[in-house]
Amino acid sequence: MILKRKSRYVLIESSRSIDVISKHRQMLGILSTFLGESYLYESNPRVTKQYDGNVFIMRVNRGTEDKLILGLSFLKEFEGESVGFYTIKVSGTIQSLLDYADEAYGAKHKINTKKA
Amino acid sequence: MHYFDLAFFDVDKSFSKRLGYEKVYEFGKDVILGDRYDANKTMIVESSNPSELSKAIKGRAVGVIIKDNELEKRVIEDASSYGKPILISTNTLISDYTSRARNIYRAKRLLAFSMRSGADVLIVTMAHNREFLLSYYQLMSIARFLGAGDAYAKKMVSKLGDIL
Repeated sequence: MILKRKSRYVLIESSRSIDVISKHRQMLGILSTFLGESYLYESNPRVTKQYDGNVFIMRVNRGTEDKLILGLSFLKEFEGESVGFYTIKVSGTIQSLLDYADEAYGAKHKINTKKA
Repeated sequence: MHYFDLAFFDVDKSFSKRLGYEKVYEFGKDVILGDRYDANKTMIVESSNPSELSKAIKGRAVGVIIKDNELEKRVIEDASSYGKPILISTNTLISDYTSRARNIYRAKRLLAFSMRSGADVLIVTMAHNREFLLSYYQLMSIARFLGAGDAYAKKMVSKLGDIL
């Protein structure tokens, strides 16, 4: 029997440009100070896609997305600089977030989409 | 359902739409924030003085903010009987790391007592800059974290549109 992992995808915008793909360990470290290390084991957060600039998609296990949203609300400093993270949309499929992002941020972001 | 927020600066329309809001109201333009009640102005009164807050509730103030989220039972009961909302600002909950635990505890206590008393509680960012704005997902998440149920959390983010 194959167990299917159920995920939730969260579209996040930040107030300034951050390369979250290369710095996702630091980001998870800061998140764990608020949510606790056990949250990371439970939710398995990953940066799935980063757009050019300040928009990215994170994937977490289903049922743990609310804590991620809460944790991002409290995250106001990254690498010594002030930052704000905004949860724009939550979905069960990455495609619907990609469609939404293309509509909301324009076609220029689609060209620079890269996979983590 | 439409969601609303309140900030100290003008948030552009496309950004507020992305955050999930119908409108982000602005202090100074849509409503005035003051520590003393003035019957001639559409205002929200923020004070630590219970009698000033009760006067505002019985007058024409659209809402009140209890400074430092102190549990002022008389003010909450007045707000419940006059149908005026109490506002909780997330700015105090997320901005200052050192007093965050105390502020969250007080906000939880204030919300629990208000829900029991039947008073309306609104949650707003009251952000001074872009970094401290939050999306409606985040506001609802904080409302649930403070102890509201799903339906009450939605009401906390949507009711501002009815009073302004």
